[in-house]
Amino acid sequence: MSHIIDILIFMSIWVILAQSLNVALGFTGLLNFGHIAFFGIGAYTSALLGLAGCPFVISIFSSAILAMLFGFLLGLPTIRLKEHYLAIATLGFGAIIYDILLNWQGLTRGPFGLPGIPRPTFFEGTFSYFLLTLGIAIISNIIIYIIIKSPFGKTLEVIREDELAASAIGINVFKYKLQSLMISAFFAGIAGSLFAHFMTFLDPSSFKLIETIYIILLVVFGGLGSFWGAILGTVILVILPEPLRFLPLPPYTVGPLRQLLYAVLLIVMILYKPSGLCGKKVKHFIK
Amino acid sequence: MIKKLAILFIVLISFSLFGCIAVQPQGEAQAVKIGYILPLTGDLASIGAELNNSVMLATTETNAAQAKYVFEAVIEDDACRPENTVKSYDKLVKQDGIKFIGGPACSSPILSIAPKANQDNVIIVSGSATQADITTAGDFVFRVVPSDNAQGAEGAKIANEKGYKKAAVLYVNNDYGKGLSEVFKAEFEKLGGEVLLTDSLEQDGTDFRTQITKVKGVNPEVLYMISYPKSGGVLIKQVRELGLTLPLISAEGMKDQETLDIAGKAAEGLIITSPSSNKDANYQKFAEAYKAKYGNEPGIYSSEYYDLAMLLMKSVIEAGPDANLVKAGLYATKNYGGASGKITLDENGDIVGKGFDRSVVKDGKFEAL
Amino acid sequence: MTGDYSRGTIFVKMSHVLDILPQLILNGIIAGAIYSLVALGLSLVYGVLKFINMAHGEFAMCGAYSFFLFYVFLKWPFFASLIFAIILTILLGFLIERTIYRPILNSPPLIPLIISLGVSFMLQALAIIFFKPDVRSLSLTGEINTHILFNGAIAITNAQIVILLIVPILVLALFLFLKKTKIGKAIRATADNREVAEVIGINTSRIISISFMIGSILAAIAGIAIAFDQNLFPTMGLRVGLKAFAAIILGGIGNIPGAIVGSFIIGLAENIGIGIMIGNFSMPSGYKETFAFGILILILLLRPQGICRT
Repeated sequence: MSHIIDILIFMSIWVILAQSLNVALGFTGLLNFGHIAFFGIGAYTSALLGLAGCPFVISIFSSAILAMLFGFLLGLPTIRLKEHYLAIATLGFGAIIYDILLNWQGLTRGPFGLPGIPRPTFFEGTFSYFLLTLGIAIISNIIIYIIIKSPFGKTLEVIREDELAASAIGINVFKYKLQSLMISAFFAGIAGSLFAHFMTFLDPSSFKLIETIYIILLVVFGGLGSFWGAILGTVILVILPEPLRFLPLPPYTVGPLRQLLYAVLLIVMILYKPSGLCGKKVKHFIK
Repeated sequence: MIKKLAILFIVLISFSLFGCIAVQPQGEAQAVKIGYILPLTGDLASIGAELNNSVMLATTETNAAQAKYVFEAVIEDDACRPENTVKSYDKLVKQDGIKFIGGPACSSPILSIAPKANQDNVIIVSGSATQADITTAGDFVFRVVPSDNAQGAEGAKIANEKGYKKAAVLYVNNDYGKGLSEVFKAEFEKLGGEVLLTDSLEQDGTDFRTQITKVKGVNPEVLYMISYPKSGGVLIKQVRELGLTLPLISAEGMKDQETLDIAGKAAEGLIITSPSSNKDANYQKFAEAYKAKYGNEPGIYSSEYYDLAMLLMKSVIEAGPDANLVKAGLYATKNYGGASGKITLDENGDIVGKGFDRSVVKDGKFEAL
Repeated sequence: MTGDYSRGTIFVKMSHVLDILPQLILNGIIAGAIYSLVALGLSLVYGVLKFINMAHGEFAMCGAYSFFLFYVFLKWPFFASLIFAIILTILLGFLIERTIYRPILNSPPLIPLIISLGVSFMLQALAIIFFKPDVRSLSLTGEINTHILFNGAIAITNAQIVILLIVPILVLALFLFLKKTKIGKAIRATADNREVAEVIGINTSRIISISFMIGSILAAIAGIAIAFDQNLFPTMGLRVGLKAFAAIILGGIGNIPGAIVGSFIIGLAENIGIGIMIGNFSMPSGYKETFAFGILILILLLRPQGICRT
């Protein structure tokens, strides 16, 4: 039973993370391939603050704000870049953050990781932590929903569809894109903080560049630019590989089989329903 | 007449009731599950497979040798990543109700679940996690492999004995590599030597030429390398390809035929330390059984995992499947004749008195030094 | 080290910066050459498909493993193994191009990028399942064949010499092919403007497949060359693929000479960045990727379209 609670906790965290990427990638069309970095920055910041004795409330907000700051720093030089250029630049950012997490031992203890990250008071047990995570996931998603449905959110979609037209009618495209990235980073930081305090042990391997692919997969599968798609996609994809554990297969194949499953799922989804599970046909992504 | 029958009836019933209480039913063994968290995928997958074999062998043998308990080995894969270890731990403990876990194989994973294990009263015994911090990781954490502190010191000792005063260290960029490199440096400098350069190697990397060039630049007398077979083999090859002829010392992470297969002739003369592998009768017995069942020689740590599995099951047989009693039993382990050697555990759950073997690579094979 | 900092010592320390500089530069050039081999095919394919095939590195891996199968496992002669490895890769490329890439050809970049990422992961997973995660060596004898030159200043192996020679040969071959042959011109026309090419009678569908096949050939050769230098393992395509992608962007997308220039810049930046030693101090090699991508971001800051934008 507790194993299932674990899965639910991971699911809630990933829902926040997927939705956060959805804001930048799905709604604004920003090809951020380094999103995992915000997750990592949030996680490590919260862990370090927690270890230094900060109360959880302060840790989680500080991490989100710091992640948002990095969103600003990343956005400033890269947002003007187009498509492939943006993709590789953000990917590079992800690689650089990982290098720092791994090698700046003075700050992060590098490969030794950070053990003993404290749980927030009143939420130490697994089930209570699940309630906390679920609660924060719900609140985050509500906030993002409000943002998406607001004039600001609508403007983001306009920018995604036709940037030229948007700037022609006087929209400051750069400013909107930057803010979108910052919001995206903020919530990734929240997810990171929840992750760190759940694991109670953090090490850089959770934030390798490859992990970014999984987040992108979650959003694409559910439907880029679909609020409910991000949630549904995450739920399905987190649950899907669990049954694999129980099949009698040669041990070294379980990991790659899971990878194969995700890959094939992604390919099939894009070929047959590129708008994802819940997505509307978004012109920017599918002609 | 009826009265007599009634008395007989009552007496018979009493006897059977008494019999039921007094006599244990024959052939009803108690099922006990033992969990194992092993790196079946990832960097150490090839080693993980052998560890899997070893614990399965131990389980089969123990079940065949006694009838009181039927042990079931429940294997989980963590690929040496703490994220997965946490999930595996929760599945084994919360879902399967397991109280005894063999593994995990790597150090960071153990540190990630140690606090939980201590809280949940779950016993963890590793046969390969060597980071120094594990000594103080808690009451319920044991290991049958010596700490890095000892192995790094051994490497430094070898370098010192051979008269080298200047060393360089290249280590795989994870807790295992960094931990050992720090110990080596501390020990080597204590013995009067100097570590001119310490640099890291990407974990899945294949091009270490620039790191090696840097080593060339500081011109040491010996190179201490810490890595795994996959990258370690490539590293050794590239060291020689870059024209460095200096002696190489390494630690047990690379002690696998795969290293030699990849490095080819470049590995000649490489010196490797590893926890004393036993070659006595206990090991021979294990190795023969392993070979008979799986077709090849056991690899590194196989005997340690065989032993920890046997120890766990032995403690359960002796003390019953109660974690606290088994814990006491483990702490009392003294001179247990295992396949990996004599096992005595100290008050921290660490193995004591285990020395290190030194091997040298000759003609493409490891030979005792 | 105790405070023995006489001037003599400092001179010695400075001089070993210069001692290793030639080797560092060579390392950078070799890395750059390897990235070029991959970037060459990737850039060509981009020209006609208009997106970066994130699975290109895996095609190289496929070439390498196919070669391994024929050369080491079946013990075929070298050239036969080479030809058949290339054929296998072409087949794989053709299959993927027709079934997966063709349908989404006209989509804006995100979708193809992601689907090719999917292909990349699928191929990696298959490689692990079929070949197991172990490293394989192409070397049949285990000999070390290296050459030490200039009084020990630099060392280079046979495999590396071959790589350095292949790059200009392939670049020249591709250049001549694109410039002089009819198909080459058709490819250029299609890359330039597919609709116009279609209008003037070029069978763009066939051209796209042909370009992809050439890309696969180049990838296979790259993979085999890398395997000789650095051995084979299922994730070998990932790292080089990523760096090649970065190189192409750095040089200016769609621009083959740019891709080559970008490759060498990245190769040099990452090796010299971590290799430079002042005294005994140097950047920890863990920051290799930081230098590689750092130089990319830096250059994009100054020239957002890449260096050689035509």
